[in-house]
Amino acid sequence: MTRGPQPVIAPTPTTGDETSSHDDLAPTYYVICWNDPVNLMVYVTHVFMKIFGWDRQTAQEHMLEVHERGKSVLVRESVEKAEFYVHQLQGYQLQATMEPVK
Amino acid sequence: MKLLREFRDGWEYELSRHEATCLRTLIAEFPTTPIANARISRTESDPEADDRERLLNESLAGHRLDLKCQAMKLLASGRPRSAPAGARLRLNPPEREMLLQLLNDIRVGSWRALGEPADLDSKFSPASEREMKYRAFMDLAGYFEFKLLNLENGGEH
Repeated sequence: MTRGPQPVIAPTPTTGDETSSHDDLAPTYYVICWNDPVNLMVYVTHVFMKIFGWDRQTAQEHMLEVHERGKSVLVRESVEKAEFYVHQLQGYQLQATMEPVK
Repeated sequence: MKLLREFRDGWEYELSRHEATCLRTLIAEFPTTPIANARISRTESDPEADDRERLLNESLAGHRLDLKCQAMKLLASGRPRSAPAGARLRLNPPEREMLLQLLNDIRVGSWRALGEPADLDSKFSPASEREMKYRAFMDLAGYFEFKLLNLENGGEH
């Protein structure tokens, strides 16, 4: 199965410094969207495009992954950004949560 | 409901009189259900996650109030306005986004009020007037969402 998209991993800024920064140690979270029978597929695609600025194809791939596999990892982010995205997604009534990266 | 014109700053839709009446009713009755307690995580259960969940629910409650204010402004502006062949609805992008969120809140809230049925395609036999109302709200909200989005995607141009 190769149809499902991979998690989008935000690039880590490089500083040229060999010591670890605080950000390197900060916990990161997956923002996950879970399937439900009530949200329309066109609506979910629209919300992903709106919130993440994705093109239609990327948004549809994630929407189909939610629909067919029960969930999709949308992004991997710091706690603040993950919270922001969950607030946005739930404002649109999608079932989204943030789960710590183990 | 069909798209009449697309402008640089929005869209104009044509609705039948029945569609206009249904849309006004949905907007006016929002929110149709009490806000549900939202979860921020399915695996975490610590004080920090509890704090985050409390903030999420406060944020969602505020967002719902904001949607209600914007919806009332839309109705107060006389939209959808009557026209010889039914009604016209002109929306700018933020207004259409607000309307989509409001309609989906009604759709999801009604689904929750119906007990979160897993199968929405099977024949529906309402057990009460309340169930009939929520099923009608859920279906109507979905109808308008689909129309707004399908038109955007060129489905009925």
